[in-house]
Amino acid sequence: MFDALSSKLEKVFKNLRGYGKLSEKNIDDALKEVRLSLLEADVNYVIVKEFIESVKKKSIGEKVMDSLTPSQHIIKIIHDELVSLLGDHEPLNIKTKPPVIIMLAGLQGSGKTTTAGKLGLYLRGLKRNVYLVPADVYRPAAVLQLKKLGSSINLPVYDTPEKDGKITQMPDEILKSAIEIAEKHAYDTIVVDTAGRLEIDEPLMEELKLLKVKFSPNEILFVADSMLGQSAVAVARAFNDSLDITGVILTKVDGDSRGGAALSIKKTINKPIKFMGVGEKLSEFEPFYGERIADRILGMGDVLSLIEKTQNAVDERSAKALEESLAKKDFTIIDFAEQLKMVTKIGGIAQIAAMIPGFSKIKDKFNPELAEKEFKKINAVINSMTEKERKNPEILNGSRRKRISSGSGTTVNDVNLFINKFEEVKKMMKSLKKNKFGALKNINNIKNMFNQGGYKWQ
Amino acid sequence: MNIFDKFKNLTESLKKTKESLAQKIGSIFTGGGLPPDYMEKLEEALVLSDISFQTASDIINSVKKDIPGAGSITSGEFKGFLKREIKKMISKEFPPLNIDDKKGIILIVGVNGVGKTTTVAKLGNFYKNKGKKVIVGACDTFRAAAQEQLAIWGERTGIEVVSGKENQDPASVAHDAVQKLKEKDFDLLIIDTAGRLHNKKHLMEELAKIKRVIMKANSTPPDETFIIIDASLGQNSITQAAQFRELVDITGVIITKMDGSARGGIAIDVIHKLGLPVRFIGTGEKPENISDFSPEIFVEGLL
Repeated sequence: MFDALSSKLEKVFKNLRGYGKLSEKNIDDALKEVRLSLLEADVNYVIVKEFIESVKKKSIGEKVMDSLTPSQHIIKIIHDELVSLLGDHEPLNIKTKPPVIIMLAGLQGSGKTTTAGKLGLYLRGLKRNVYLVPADVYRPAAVLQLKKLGSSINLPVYDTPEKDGKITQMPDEILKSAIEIAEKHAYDTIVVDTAGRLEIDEPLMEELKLLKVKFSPNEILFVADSMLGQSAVAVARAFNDSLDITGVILTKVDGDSRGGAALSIKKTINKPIKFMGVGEKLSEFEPFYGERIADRILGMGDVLSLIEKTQNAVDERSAKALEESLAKKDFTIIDFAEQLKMVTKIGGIAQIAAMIPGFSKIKDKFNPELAEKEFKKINAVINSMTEKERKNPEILNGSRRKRISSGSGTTVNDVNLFINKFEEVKKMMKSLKKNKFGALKNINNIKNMFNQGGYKWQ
Repeated sequence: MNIFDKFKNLTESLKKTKESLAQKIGSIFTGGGLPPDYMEKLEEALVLSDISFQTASDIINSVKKDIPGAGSITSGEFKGFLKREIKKMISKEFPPLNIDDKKGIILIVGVNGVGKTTTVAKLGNFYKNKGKKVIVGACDTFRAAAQEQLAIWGERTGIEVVSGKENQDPASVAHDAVQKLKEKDFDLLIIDTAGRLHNKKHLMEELAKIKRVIMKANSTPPDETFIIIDASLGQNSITQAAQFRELVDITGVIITKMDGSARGGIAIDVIHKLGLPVRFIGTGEKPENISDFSPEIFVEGLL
């Protein structure tokens, strides 16, 4: 998400930077472009209007016009406006007396059931004892879907009773008995999946209100598809009016939508966006930080999220051990393989690349999918080496290389290319021994390697 | 069945749209005549209905030509121009649906959560009521319980469903379903597929494979390939359709969730920008909540 928007805006700013001093007309022209990009991104029409007016008012002041770098100034103004549209990060309100109840609500197809699984997995990562509760009694097999998701990640799921394919409890009965079970088993966090519903469907909205009144959930999260169009505003407002929601979860952020809905929703209902779903896997789920997303939209990258992801994925001890061994001795293929593993853990090259500042500028030249393919090839090559070869790459003579290529299903040329690349990285490592960021910089090395010579590798 | 029954669902579902778009247009005239900034107000009304900025500009430009240079114009006349221009824009000649008088195959594709499985059930029911013997292929073997979801629909509508196991190659389910269509006494096979974001290459390749397998098993491609578009989503739907089209030769569009507060302006972009026909409209959760699409009735309903 946001990619298309960011590359459009970058173009605007590039033009803006061409001017030493800005006239009112320069600013007007640039803002016209910004307006169009936001409208194309499905940001609500009315919100775009306010946004542009506000930026314009702040831009056409003496301060900006007289500053030495007026375009930087304007970009800063737009950045700050975006941040205020997207909002600060707010954690879940779960530090209260258990069981904590988190209820999900939203339109059909927004991704509530999948999100229930993702949120459950995320909460377990916070050492919560999670209990999933399927309370979608309408969509065929919705209950079964959550049961299957739960069992795939070993989370307990309330066994919503069924008879002849029909659910025999209503949502309030389901939640009531689920809470009893949770108390018995010391489950401290209950995630409730509810049926998708249209915000104008009064009987169904009443059902949610009833759950709210009876059980006062600690969190009522509105699950919203990031591809939503202009109606995002009306939908979010209606859900908030009837339920006074506590936050928003954006889904399908891994699509290529420009994410206008995200910009519209927070502004409309003034509730924080707390999480976003970024992939088909249940682990692909992240806390939402408005500031970082604003950086991404403006092509400034999202280094903070990258660092956090690295910290989560790379266990500190093994990273430290790697660093120490690098300090003492030569960089070997074993160390290299270790680095590759880290990249995979963080979510693969494509995900990392998207967070790197200025990436949208080079996107056409760097194909993450191709890189991902090479990645697999390199892994195959390394796996076909003997321990001795990995430790002492200099012994890799012609016949060894031939054996490795046939063992890994690659060509001798592929093996040669890998060894050359490895030597390059080794050189880089030597110059980087005293780096502070440890694993993160190592990962950048690998990315550079793909960037430079990537597609010669086919 | 008279024409009004046939399109009753469509007309009903557009009522909300009509009220709000008509209100917006009406509000342009609150000062009496046509104000100087009417174009901006019209643009707002159109864009808020999920019509793209570009298409909205096209509409405004053609309406502008209709407006007489001198003299006043009423809100009714203005609406008339608008209706005429939009109708012109979306009244393209499309060939009739290609599934009559033979064993036909319809392939259903789309991104996650747009309502593919529900639409398959409704479409099956629609053709069953027209006297066809329908069979459904449940090729979403990825999403947990998608198979069961379609099986339950099958029971409710009395339509046979060919299923696979979870994580089975969806193409093999498609193959089995085509065999059954050919060998047994069925007229129409509708194939449901897993939702996939159009920018995920491996998933799109999986879809291309499903299509290849159908072609091989049936010696012809699917007779119709419909992409499902969710009316509540925005301009990304157009990108979706364009991307799917590159891979599987989309022949038509079904727009779902037209009963919500989304205004369905995306239908105009589908026809105007992509040149694809809108074939059906989904208007609710019951099996019978599906309707033929008609440009005339759509425009009447919209304004």
